[in-house]
This record gives sequence, structure tokens and C-alpha cells, in this order.
Amino acid sequence: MGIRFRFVQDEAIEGIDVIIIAKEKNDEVEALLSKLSSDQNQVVSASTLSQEHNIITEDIISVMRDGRYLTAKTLSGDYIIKDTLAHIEELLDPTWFVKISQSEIINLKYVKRWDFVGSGVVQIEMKNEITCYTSRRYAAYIRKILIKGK
Amino acid sequence: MKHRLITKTLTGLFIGALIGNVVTLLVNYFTEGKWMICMPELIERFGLGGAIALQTLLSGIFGAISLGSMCFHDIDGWNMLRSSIAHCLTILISFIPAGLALYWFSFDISSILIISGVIIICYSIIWLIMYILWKREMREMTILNEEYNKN
Repeated sequence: MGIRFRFVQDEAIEGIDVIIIAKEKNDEVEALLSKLSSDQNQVVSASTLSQEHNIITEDIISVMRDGRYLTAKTLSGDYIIKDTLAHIEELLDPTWFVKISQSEIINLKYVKRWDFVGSGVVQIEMKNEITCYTSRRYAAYIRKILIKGK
Repeated sequence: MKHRLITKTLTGLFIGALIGNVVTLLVNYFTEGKWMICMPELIERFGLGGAIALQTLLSGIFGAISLGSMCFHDIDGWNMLRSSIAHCLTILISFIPAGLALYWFSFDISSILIISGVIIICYSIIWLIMYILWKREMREMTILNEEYNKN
């Protein structure tokens, strides 16, 4: 079966909603979703101490809950995002972004090295000298993603 | 985690009861030369039926605690050393009273120390093997991550 494209005008919608309608969420649908989300260069509003910025989600190395706000570590520095982790997670491309704890998400694209250190903690060395830690349970889950994909 | 705890505890109950009886049977055969499912002192005290029932119950409880407490390893905030110490101590604390009650070893300090030492050494070896395996697994993860990024 082919893929049909059509445009539906709806003045009540802000921005653009791309909806895929299919009988089931199969590999073809997953691939299409992944392709669409990777091509859109999603932007998130963030701030430093003095300025507001729009950061491209692709440039995010990690996002972590930090008190009431989130800290996004990007290729160009750290930013504060005034939003919830759950909402930001929805905006991030699931192909690359994975949760490593209840309060942190990383971008697999910028992982340099996985290691097992100290008294038994999984350490993730990221780009820009960023180091994250995760549990063995999360590491085992991410391993499955790396083998099979999401 | 709750589901895993229940599954492991129930599995441990069954395996513990089975292993407790089988091991005692074999130990008695190789040390006394007789096929006895319980230690002679226990049979003398409770009779054969009572001794088997008590041994099945206590070794089952020991198995349930040992396997159930493996869930310490599932606690996200705990590193492997912390969860291993907690698991090892739980095994020790549950094994010593069960072993004493079932006459697996005698009630004196040297026996208890030897048994504790054996359990700690065995657990340390298992911990070391687990550590090496995780270290190796993380090296593989780095390679997998690189391949994932290429694809």
C-alpha cells in the first residue's frame, strides 16, 4: 500500500500538526515518524542568566531536572528551560534521546564512552567533557535500544 | 519491581525448599554414609515427619528471602557495592538462624564464623565476576553506540 499525502486547513490550529493515520504502528510508520521528527529541527525556548534563546533540540547533549527548572547542556553551553521534563521529552527525537534516570535525558549522538566505575555505577562520558551516571537497569534498557532501535 | 519481588520470592520459596532437602540428603550420604533427608539431631528431636516439614519450611523461607532480596539490585539509586552488601547481609542473617535450627552446623562461635566467612567469600567472588562482566558489557555498549550513531 502506498503513502498518500494531503493538506487539511484548520484555522484553529497553531503551528503545524503532522498526523500519520494507519491501521497499526508498524515499522514503516515508526520510520516515517522518526524521519519527520529528525528533519524538523525542533526548537526549545531556553534562557541563560540574562538572555532568552531558542535552542535546536539536535544540539542538546543532556537535559536534567534541576530544582524547579531544567538544565539543558548543549554544544554551545548550558541553558535553563522553564518547563517539565515530561513535556520536553515529547519534543525530543526518540531516536536519539533516552532517559537515563527519572530526572535526566541524554542524546545518544553525543555519547563518547560507556563505563562501569567505582563501586558499581554506570558512567557515560559525553561530548564537551560532560559526565552522566545511570543505573544498571536503565543501562540494560538502553542497550536493547542500541541493538534493536526504538 | 513489586511484581519481580513477588515472582522471585515465590520461586525462592520453592527452590530453597528443594535445594535444602537435596543438599542435606547428599551431605549426610557423603559424611555419614547414610541416605538421611535431615540431620540426625533434627530427626531425633522432631521425628522424621516433623523434621522434614521444619526443614522444608525453613529452607523455603531462606530461599524466598535470598532470591527476593536480589531486588536490592533493582534499586536505581544504589550502586552495585551497596546492593551487594545489602543482599549478602540479608543472606547471612537469614541463613544462620535457619542453619542452626536445622542442625546444619553447631551452635558455637567458630562454626558461625566459618559459615559467615564462606558466604562472604563466595559472594565476593560473585561480585567480582559481576563487576568484570559489567565492565565488559559497557565496552560493548560503547561499540554499539558508535554503530547506532553511524546507522
